[in-house]
Parts: sequence; structure tokens; C-alpha cells
Amino acid sequence: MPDNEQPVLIYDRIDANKRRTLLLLALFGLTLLPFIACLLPVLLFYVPLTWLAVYKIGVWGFLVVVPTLVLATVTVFICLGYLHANRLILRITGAQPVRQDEAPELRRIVENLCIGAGLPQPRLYVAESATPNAFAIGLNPSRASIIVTRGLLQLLDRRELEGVVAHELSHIANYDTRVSTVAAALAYTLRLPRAALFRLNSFIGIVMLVISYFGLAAFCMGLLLPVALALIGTSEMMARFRGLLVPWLLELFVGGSPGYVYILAPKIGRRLQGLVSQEREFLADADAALLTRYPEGLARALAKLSAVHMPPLKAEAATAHLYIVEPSAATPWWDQAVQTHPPIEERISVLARMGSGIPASVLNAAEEAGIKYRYSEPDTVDAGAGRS
Amino acid sequence: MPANLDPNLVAAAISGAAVLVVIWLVVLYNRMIQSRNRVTEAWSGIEVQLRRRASLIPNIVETVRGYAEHERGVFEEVARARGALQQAGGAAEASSANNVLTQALRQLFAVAENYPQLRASENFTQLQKELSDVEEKIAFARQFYNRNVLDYNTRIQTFPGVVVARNLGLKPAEFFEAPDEGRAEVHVSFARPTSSAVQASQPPKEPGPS
Repeated sequence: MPDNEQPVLIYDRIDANKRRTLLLLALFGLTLLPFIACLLPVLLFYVPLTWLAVYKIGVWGFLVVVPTLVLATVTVFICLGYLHANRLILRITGAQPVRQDEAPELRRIVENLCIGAGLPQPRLYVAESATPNAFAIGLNPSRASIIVTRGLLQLLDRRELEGVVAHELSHIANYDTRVSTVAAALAYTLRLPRAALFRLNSFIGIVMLVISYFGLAAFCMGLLLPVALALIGTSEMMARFRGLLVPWLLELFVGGSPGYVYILAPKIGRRLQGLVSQEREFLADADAALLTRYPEGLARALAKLSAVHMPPLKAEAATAHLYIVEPSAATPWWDQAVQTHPPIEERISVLARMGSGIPASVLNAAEEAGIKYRYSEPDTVDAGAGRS
Repeated sequence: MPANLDPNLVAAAISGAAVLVVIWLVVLYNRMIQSRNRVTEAWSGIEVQLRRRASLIPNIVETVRGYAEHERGVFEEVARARGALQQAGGAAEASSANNVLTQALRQLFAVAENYPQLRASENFTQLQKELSDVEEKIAFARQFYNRNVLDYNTRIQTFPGVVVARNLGLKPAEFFEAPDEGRAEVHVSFARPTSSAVQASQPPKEPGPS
């Protein structure tokens, strides 16, 4: 009886995911601290009232009040990021809830698999995109959602759709969705200023990046200044430097803040996504095979999806790690995401080992179906590109 | 006992150890009960679907009877199997009754095959669809139930749980056996895949230590 192959250590996986979420939030807070502190020079330069405040409470008073405000803001941001992650991602992807009269097959598959997995019914959403893909989000199983694209419903047959849904349900049951949802929301937040700038105008964006790099160089030199003075400067120069402490701090702020906001923070956001392990895809595939008792379904689906290679969805690099197969790059070269998924061939071969093997002809047929689908939807090829 | 040991300290150590043992027993017991409750809950999931299946059957029988009135033997058998399923208590009994009902229904549908008008009837195809949906749900509910039973039984049959379970009189739960048509066997490995990825269509292997 195949029932005796337990999804090993599922409770360990849940605990690990909960811990990972806390770690993510803590790292996010750390990243956000200078992020918001960097708003300070902006305030100083563009809001004259700030000078009044400095004048009223004195420089040192200002340096106490501002960090307190910053800490409070960061805390608020962390809470918002955690609680609103779901809604934020739904908005990014533009998915709409599945209506009662829509996609009966999908609803039935989800209903049945939930019975098998002992999970509450997740909410279902469809993203209007011809690119077939799917993902699940939610902080816990009772408030989870599964999002599929219109293309997925068109391309996959029942058994394949079942495999994909089972894969997503497994992410929900393991609390993978908690980590990945939070990671997506946080990465999105950290990338927001840069993305907004590039969406405004990519020339301005590049100019700003160059300025940021110069700023970073100025910041580093500013940091080195006291060291250099201590090493080779005379005591008279040191005394003069002490008198210039406030301008020196300002220089550090002005130089460092654009570099931090536009270069470092987005990079850190990507590293946060990296905390979502690639191994979880293998685990979810294994769970899906266990739940559907039909590894071939998911393997065929993966083969089809990998063959399509169409520009994805309203893809934000911040959400790339959520999808069942990595969304192909629709982002320009200066904005590429890190690789978030293991290679699909490897996943298929692992799935093939679980059952009694999958004939190569079946996989080839699935791939051909994917390629055929890609060329049957020419009007959608440009739809998602560039605009995100 | 060495004279330099403070008797108070010894007493404290012993009572501390006793408290730890009691806590450990409580945790063990709670886990068992939690596991048993999960089995009960999973069972009610099966029961709901079995009831839905049983309630569909009179409609199906009536529909078939409208076209094939003289096939009385089959109807009676289905009715008997349905009655047996509704009477059944316990997983083992219910699963065998359910399997008998499946057999009877198979005969009923074999009969229906001989009546083209019946097969064309929209009502009949709708009922058939609903029935196969319920049967699929039963299969999934069974899977969830059996997994919970396995977890519970393992808990109360392995050391140290077995000691507590025997004293409390906890009995292993029954599996809900499947009819012998199930999907192919699946050998799932949760081991981390090695980079020397095995090619497709190889025989299943045991997960190696990774």
C-alpha cells in the first residue's frame, strides 16, 4: 500500500518555514533602517521646515528624535509588509477571483485535492495572461490563495492541472507560502523606488544609477577621511576636522543615500528572495506526486510549461520565486532577477523516478504541445513585455 | 550516599526529574489524543462523501428503472448494497460495504449500456457525472484518512508511546481499504536530488542518504 510513504518531517518543514519568515522580517527591518534614514537628507534639502526643527531642538536633539521616528516607521512597515503581503501580490499580478460559473474543472480539482490533503479550500484567482503559470500565496492554509493564469487553463489537460494544483497545495500545507509571500512583498518594497524610477523613464533611471555609484564612491571616501587624517594628518588638521563634524555627516548621508536606495537595497531584496530555498520545489513536486498518485501529470505539465517560454504575466522580479516554473525574463538586462528555480529537466527526471517511469515520447509530445501553444498565441507575445 | 551531598539538593533533583517525567508523559498523551482526533475528523470527511454517494443512488436507480424495468435483480442488489453501507459502522466494515456497492453499481451501468436511449438521457449522464465526482472525493478522503490512521497507529504502537497507549486502552484505528482499481503505485522520495540526475524512465530507487 503506497499510503505508508509519509511526507517525511512535514512538521519540521513547517517549523523551519516559520523561523525563516521571522528571519526575513528581521533582515527586512535591518535593511529598512538606513533606507528610511536616507530620507533625512532629502527632508533637509527639500523641506525647509526641517531646518526649523533642527534649529528648535538642536542638532543632537534632532539626532534623537529622528531615529525614534525611523524605528517607529520601520516597525509599521514590517507589520504592513507581513499583513498586507497577500493583497499586495494580488495587486501586482492583477489577478481576479474566479467567479462561481467559471472554470468548473479547476474548482472541482481544487476541491478534491483539498479533501485529499486535509486542507481548507483556498481562494482561487485567475490572472488574465496567455502565459501558462501558477502560484500560491498566503500566510497560513486557512487564508491561502491559488493563482493560475488563463493560459494555464487553456494549455493543460485535467491530469496536468491536477498535478499543478497539488504542487501549489503542498506549498500551502508546508507554509512555504508564508515565507515566499512575505519575501515577495518585502523584495517588492525594497525595489519600489528603483522600479518606479525606471518605469518613469529608463534614461533617467540609468542617469540616477550613475549618480548613485558616484555617491557611493563619495561615501566611501568620506568614511576613509578620518582614518587618513589619523594616519598621516597633523593634529591641527584633526582639530579642524572636529569642527566640521556635522558637514561631514551630511556628506556621508548625501553621498550614500541614493546608492543605498537604488543599488544596495534592491540587491538585498534579491538576497531575501534567495532565502526561499530551491529545494522546496522538489519537496512540493514529491508531495504532489503523493497526493495525486500520478507523477506523470505534473511531469507533463512541467514539460509543457517549460516549452512555452513566453513573456510572463505582469511579472515583477520580486514575485519570480513564487511561480511553479520560473517566469522567463521580460525584464530588461539591468533588472534581471536571480535564478529562483532548479532546472526543470531535473525536476521532471525526479518525478519520473517516482512512478514506473515516463516514456520519452510522452514528454516530447507535451513539449511539442507547449511549443505549438506558444505559436498559436502570437498576439500575446508582446502583451506582457516591458510593461510590468 | 556520600556525606557531603546535601540531602535537600538530592530531594530537589529527584523531584525535578519526576516533574520532567510527568511533563513528558503529558506531552506524549496529548499528542496521541490529538492524533486520534485527527483520525476521527478525517473519518467524518469520508462519511460525508459516503452519505452523498448513498443519496445519489435512488435517483440513479429510478432513472435506469424508467428505461429498463425488468432488470429487477440488479436494482435489488444495488438497494441491498446501499442499505449495507448505510448500516455499516467502523472503517473496515464501511470500506467493504462501499466496495460491494461499487461492484453492484458497475453491474447497473453495464445494464444501462444496453439501453441507448438511457445513455442519451441528459438526466442520466448528469447523475453519472455526479457519481464519479463523489467517488473521486471518496478516494481522496480515503487517502487523507489512511495517512492519519497510519500516523496514529505508529504513535501508539511504537515505544515509548505503546506503554502509555496500553495503559489507556487506546486501540489502533482501522484503515479504509480501497477497491482494487486504484492508481498506480508511487514511490516518492523526499531525498534531495543529487546533481548526477538520473535519467527518466529508470526503475524506482530507494532514496540514498544525502
